[in-house]
Amino acid sequence: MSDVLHVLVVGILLGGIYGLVSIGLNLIFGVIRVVNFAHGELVMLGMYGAFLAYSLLGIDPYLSVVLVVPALFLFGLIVQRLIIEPLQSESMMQMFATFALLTILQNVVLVITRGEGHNVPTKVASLGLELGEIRIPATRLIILIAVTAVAVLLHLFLHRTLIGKSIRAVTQDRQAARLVGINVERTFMVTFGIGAALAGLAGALIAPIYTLSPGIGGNFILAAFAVVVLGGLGSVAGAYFGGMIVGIVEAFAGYYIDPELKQAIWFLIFLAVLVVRPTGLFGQVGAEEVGFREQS
Amino acid sequence: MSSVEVAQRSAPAGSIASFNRTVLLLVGGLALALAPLAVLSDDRFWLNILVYTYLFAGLSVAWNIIAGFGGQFSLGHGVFFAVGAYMTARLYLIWGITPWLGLIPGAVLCALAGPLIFWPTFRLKGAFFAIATLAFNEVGFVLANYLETVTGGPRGLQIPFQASLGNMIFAHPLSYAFLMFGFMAACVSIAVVITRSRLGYYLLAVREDEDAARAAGIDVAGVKLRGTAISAALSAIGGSLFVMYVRTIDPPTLFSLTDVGFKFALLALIGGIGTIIGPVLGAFLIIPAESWLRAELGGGLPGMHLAILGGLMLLAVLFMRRGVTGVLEIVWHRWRSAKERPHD
Amino acid sequence: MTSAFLSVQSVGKQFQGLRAVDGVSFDVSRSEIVSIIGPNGAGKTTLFNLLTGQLAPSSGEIRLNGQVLNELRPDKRAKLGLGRTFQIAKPLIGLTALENAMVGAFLHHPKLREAEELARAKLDEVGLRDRAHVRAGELTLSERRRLEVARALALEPHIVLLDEVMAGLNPSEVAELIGLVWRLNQSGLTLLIIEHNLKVVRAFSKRVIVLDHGAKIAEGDAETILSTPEVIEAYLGKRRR
Repeated sequence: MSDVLHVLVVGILLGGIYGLVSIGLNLIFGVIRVVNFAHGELVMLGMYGAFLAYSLLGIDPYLSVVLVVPALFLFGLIVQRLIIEPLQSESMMQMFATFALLTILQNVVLVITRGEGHNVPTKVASLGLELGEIRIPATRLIILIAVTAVAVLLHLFLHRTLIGKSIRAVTQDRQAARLVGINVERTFMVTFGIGAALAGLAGALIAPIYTLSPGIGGNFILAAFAVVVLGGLGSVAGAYFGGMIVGIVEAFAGYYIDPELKQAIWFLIFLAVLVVRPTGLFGQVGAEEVGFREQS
Repeated sequence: MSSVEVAQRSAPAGSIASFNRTVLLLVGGLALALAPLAVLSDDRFWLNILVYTYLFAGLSVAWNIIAGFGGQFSLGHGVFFAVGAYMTARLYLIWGITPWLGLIPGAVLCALAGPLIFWPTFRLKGAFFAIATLAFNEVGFVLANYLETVTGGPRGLQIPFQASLGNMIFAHPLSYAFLMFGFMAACVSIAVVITRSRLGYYLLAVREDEDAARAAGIDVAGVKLRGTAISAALSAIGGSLFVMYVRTIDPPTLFSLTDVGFKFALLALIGGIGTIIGPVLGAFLIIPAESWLRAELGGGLPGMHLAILGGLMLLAVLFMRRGVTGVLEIVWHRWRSAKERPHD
Repeated sequence: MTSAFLSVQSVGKQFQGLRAVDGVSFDVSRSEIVSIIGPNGAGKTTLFNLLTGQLAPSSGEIRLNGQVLNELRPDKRAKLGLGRTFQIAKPLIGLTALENAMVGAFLHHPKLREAEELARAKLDEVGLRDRAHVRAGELTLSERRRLEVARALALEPHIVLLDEVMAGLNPSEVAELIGLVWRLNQSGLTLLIIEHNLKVVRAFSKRVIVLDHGAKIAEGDAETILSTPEVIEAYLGKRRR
């Protein structure tokens, strides 16, 4: 029994990481309907940002968030404006573009770091929470708290603020939103900015957990897509609970079936979801169609 | 009436004149593609590049059949490539079956299983389909690592060097270059046949508008399945030839998106998606450039050549959406209409 | 048991909470032209989508030449002889007009040469012979409408459903298209037309069916129908007292 509990806890903590990484992608994919292959690299940039803050300014990664998040927000604005927007309604080209971005970001960082691995230490590294026999490291607990906070704040943002509401309006029907006077292009810019900022946040917060390498984005991108599809496009709750589910399933699959197969397992689930209920658990039915028919 | 229209009037699609012209273009184009072999027949470095160029040109043409013509942007073709490679290697290593025959089971398996695997995802549109095929590639990667008895697991498979025609192992890269050229020629020829057939027109219709296609009596799913079957089989054959060239394969090599799965798409993009010659042009432009970049920069600055390649890709997407073929078409039209305009 | 060519019996379509089509019944005989009119949102296009198979009916039965169509996919119905045009024209943009028509022609003629000949003939019939090699995306609205018709005709159908094929055309284009429809009918083609343009409706419909809020509220010949109070009310709304 304590085994199950242990695996469950591991799964939930992992789910927190997946959720945090995916929440930005969910926004981007759900609102702008672009497959952002470079999302893992945005997280990677967040991680390296934390590392830079530490090595240049001596700041703890959790504090570096203050610098990393706005920087990535700006970066997201630029990417949307210069790369995604010109390719409006050409989803195949958008995929090429974000894949190109992935290649560029990964390799530029590779060139700069010359392939050296890096680690970002933090003051809380040794702290942890004891739940009976199970020890929860503070680093992972912080992420769980963060993802919950982000989910709640994002939900409030989308439902209570004007910008948030215009984001939701654009998600449902671009034409209608335009007719009501919403500047769709600007809304997209803000959305991508927020999505990138959230990715940066995730990166900064998980920097203490992983060894940094330029290719680390690849670890997350596929999981993130699985989470987004499972949870449902454009649903914050979907990203949150989707992340949990993916984390828990991976933990159990790794423990009870075979650690080597665990990635395949959640991919198969992801495929099953795509086929059986593409809207995911919380998404709007038909949402997955709307973006790919005529929308201008 | 523009000159394009004049040209098409004199050789309507179904006529003998059009058929002759197509064959002429095909033979001429292939001869042109063969030319570098004559020039570089002694340079091992460039021959190696040519081998890859021909191979990937063929693979990209195969990908283009379902993706460029049919509009199904697949990132999962690496799986077919890998199946062909593993199947041929296995049959050769265990039972000494000559790869010339050994490439058949892989192709058949992919022709049958490929559509079966893709079938549930055909309902998905655009980006979702791409992600689903991406997932297939990842599942393939994990399985290839896991099923050690079949694939040799993470260490992969190695084929010892024993040169003979029957083994499809050659001492000189020139022979391999001819082999890959043959593969490319076969893929291009098949693509040409398809474009002049009902399947070709139906693929285009499915790409443009599935509802309109259905209203025109097209069994959309069936068309996608048939296109996938052909595309998958050709990709598998490419994989079979690949393994007999490099003689060592492992999961990271075969399932790498950057080098394999996505590369097919990239070459088609650069050259012109949805045209026959596009992927070939893309291959001839990108692969030598990439190899050269890697040779020049790879040692000192790891990753630099890929960063540059990524930059080129981005520029191509933003400014050259219809690829080189698109640019050539624009130039051709402008030149033609300039000729027709009366001079002052 | 009716011997009508197209038989629509109590066909209905329910979306969650909305009855888009409500128990509509009518028949179409061979070589007839029947028009369906009604205010916006009356369910006309939904009815068409039920007939062509893009939507599955919640109730009722559709028969073509005695064969039940209910379970059949749109492409199967096309094979049985049901052609249609779309309200918002759906030309295959990247293809030329000729290639568009060939897509239809291939249905019963798998060979390239035959399909092309048939396609050319149909383009000729709709007056697009000179535009055969123009990309569909570059055609004018009127030409696109006619291309839709050509593609449908290339299926060699027994009945064609035209969905507001006159919308957005200027009077001379409308006149041309009326002439085309007339010629097609003269050669024996059965036509079911959705139209807003009452002039068109008067021009060639012996029978008119009026839909409102998904239900059939009137059926008869054009003159009678267009002076029926219920029909006028449906279009113009109830008079205030």
